[in-house]
Amino acid sequence: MENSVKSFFKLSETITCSICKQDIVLYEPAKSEYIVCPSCFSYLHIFTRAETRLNRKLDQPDKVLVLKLGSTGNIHGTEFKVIAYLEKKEAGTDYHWREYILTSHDKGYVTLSEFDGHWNFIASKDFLPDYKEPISYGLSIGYKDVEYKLFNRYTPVVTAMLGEVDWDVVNEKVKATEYIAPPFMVVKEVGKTSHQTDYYIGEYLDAEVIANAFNIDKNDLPQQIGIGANQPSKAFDRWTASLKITGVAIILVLLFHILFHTVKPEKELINDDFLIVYDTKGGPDAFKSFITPSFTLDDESSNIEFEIASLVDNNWLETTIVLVNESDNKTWEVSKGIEYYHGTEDGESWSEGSTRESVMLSEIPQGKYHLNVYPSSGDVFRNNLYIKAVSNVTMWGNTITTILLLCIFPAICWLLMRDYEKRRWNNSNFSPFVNGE
Amino acid sequence: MNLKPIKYYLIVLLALLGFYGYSGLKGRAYFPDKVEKNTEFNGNKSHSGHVNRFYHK
Repeated sequence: MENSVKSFFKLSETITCSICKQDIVLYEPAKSEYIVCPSCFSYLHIFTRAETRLNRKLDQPDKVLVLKLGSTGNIHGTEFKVIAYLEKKEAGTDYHWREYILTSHDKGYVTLSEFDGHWNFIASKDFLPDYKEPISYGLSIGYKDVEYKLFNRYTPVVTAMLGEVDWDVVNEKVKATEYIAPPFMVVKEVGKTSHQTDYYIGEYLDAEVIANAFNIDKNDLPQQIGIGANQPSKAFDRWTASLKITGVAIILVLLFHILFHTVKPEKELINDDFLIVYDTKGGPDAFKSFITPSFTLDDESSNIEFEIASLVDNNWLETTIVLVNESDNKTWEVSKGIEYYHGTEDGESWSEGSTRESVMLSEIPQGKYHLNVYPSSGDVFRNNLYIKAVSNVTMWGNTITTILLLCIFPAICWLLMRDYEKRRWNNSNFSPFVNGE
Repeated sequence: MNLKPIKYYLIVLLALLGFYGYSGLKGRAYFPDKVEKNTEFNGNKSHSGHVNRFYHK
């Protein structure tokens, strides 16, 4: 088998051009039926091994071949030999691209197409052991449970050729439709009748893969311009990966949130309505300070939320609360005001403020504590101040902030992915981005 | 799932999860109210009760 493969790749014959009488090398003499003379660019039909007849005169290729005829390369574990080079254009437009026809020992032809430095490995069902007939849905196609979106419709025209093939490639008339699901592509070719429909599966290949396969310098390959139709998007990969991992992380955050609530349940420390008295000897608005009963924080470190309330009416009350550790006299001091105003203006009632406020202290160490409370109010007749203190309160702010922070990166990835896809679809008449949006 | 394209984000994500877990266990709020520590017994503090006063009209 190995020997037959080696002899296949070494196999070549020489025939004479019937037009210019120059020698033409045949790289697949057993199969080839059409060939182009590299000297006079006549497109010839081989009717015996020794003789040819003119089929058509072609133009000289515009570009220099980067994969030489007869050169061999290994792609996806299969050894190929380059037997033909085609320059094609889209009928009615200036779009040109290049195709290299490769042949293998036992799997037949495949095509390497190159457009603006982007390479596609295109194979028919003969080459694909797991091929399944694509299902057409009009503007998309289904192949192996993946949706391929319509990207381009065109009629290819051969403008130049070198090498040999076993079918009349120059004179065939087909209409091609390309559907993409990067890095893959489905190419549908319809002949003169709709019954003559063939599907080909394309895979985007990095230029480095081509260079390594044919042992050539990557810098000798055409420079990449823009984004290939089915070029894989790193932005898409980043977006899908970040979306999945962020989803897992958000679930973890919510589980942590429930866990904290279970492991460190809320504990009520104070829940009382305290009598407050205006201090006639103090400054304006000053009330007499007071001390609350002691309470204990059992956890090594906890938060405490104070809720203060008083039924102020078109007035204000403000209090400074000092949390005092009774063993080492360390203190935490916070001030909070309550104000509630309401009235009627131009026949409409209004109100501002609230009779209830809350304040949060965090990372309070274990110990025995009490509160020193210093109230003041614009209402000298105010006589009550409700204080409720709870430790280990649920910190929704932490949870929501963490979730929002986790969402920033996937959001940026989505924007980058969308920008990439918009630029990809700029080359298509079937862009899903209407007016570039 | 290919995590290679987001390896730096993974580090940030783990740091965020770690900080969230640490904060939850320690009772550390991301946005606590403004607190002054150890003011009561340093001898130069008085409680006048005039902070953030708001009057309507």
